Amino acid sequence: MEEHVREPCPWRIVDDCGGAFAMGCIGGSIFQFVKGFRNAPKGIGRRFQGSVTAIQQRAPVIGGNFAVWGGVFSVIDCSLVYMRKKEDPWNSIISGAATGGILAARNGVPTMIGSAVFGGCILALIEGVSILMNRFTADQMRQQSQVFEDPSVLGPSPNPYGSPPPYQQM
Amino acid sequence: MDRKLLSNVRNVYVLFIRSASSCQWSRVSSIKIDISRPVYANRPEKYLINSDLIFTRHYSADKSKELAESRYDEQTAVSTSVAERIKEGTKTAAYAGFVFMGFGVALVIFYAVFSELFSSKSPHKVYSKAVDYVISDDRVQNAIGDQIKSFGEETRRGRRQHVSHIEYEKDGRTYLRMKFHVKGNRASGTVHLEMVENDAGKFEYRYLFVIVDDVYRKTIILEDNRNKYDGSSVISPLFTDQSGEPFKELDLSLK
Repeated sequence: MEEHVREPCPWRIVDDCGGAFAMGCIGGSIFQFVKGFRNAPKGIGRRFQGSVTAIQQRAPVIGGNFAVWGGVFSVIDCSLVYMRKKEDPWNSIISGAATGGILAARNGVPTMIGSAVFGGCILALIEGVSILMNRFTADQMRQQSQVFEDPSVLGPSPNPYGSPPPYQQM
Repeated sequence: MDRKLLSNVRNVYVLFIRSASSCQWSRVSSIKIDISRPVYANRPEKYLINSDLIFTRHYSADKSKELAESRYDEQTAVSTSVAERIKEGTKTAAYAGFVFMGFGVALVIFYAVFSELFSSKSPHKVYSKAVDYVISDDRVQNAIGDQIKSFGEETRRGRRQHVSHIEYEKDGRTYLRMKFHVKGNRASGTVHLEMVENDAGKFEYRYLFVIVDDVYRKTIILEDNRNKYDGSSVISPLFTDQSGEPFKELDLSLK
């Protein structure tokens, strides 16, 4: 009750959109820096100038593309959460595939299918990484805590030999 | 007709002709000449071409010749020195190693995803079945309302897919303990469950209960099979006699 006061879902779309934009901007800047550096004429000053120009021209566009991807993905994810009433890795994989398909809609059905498969695979990879990381942390937790007591709300464990323990009878 | 002569990098002059109707250049023939011969060295096209050809472009100065030849050598010549061959071999091996490593990592990840989604003993399947079981229970529906949705722990980014669980082994049996949240239109609840591997190797519920998250903290026990698999090793010393044997029957009659 305490940490689940607010539903994450509709707000998460904005969050994901902005996060994806930032990610695209930063990653695109790094990529365009290298690209501009390599494509520029000789001279270190010219090379840096080329990098800056390339970043100015392309990084916001890449960020925008990422933001569109993240936004559509999140919208579909939230819709799936609403419809299936369940949150599990399938939501991510399905919405990744759907996003890939929708964003390639102007290129015809074969491209849409290819893009959808690609999107699904990417999201499956991301989910796989998070599953592996969860397993890893679970392994570490298991090594830390070796004692597994039954929850107290269930009461003491029923005696396998028939009679209940005496203090319950009194 | 428009004509164009291009030298390519291998001392071969290629003749291009553009017809008036289409704007495409098409290659009609290639003529090989040896630029290194002194007669051609200055203006190779002079000796090469019939008088009716018109040059729109040519790259046949001495500089470009050198450039072209060196480039050609680099690309296709088979290196014979041992050092070169070792270098090339190491390069190829390194690239192949990277590719295989990438494939390996991708395979491991895909295996993790598929085993999680499709194996019947995976946490995801257990969660999925438990959710179906819990939300179809009348007592749970009465307590927290209809339209029940289920989710795991919330991360910082607002994703609630990860269901908190832990797998452990005790006395040769595998146990899986899990916790997730359900929310109906009236209240929310927390589901605690533990699965135990039975003798056939399948998971069975050891216990499954829902705590309604309100002030009363009502507990709805859906399954409690703890007496089924708890062997004598878990009996507390309270229920054993002095020799360590469990009591067969307790005499509770008041004398």
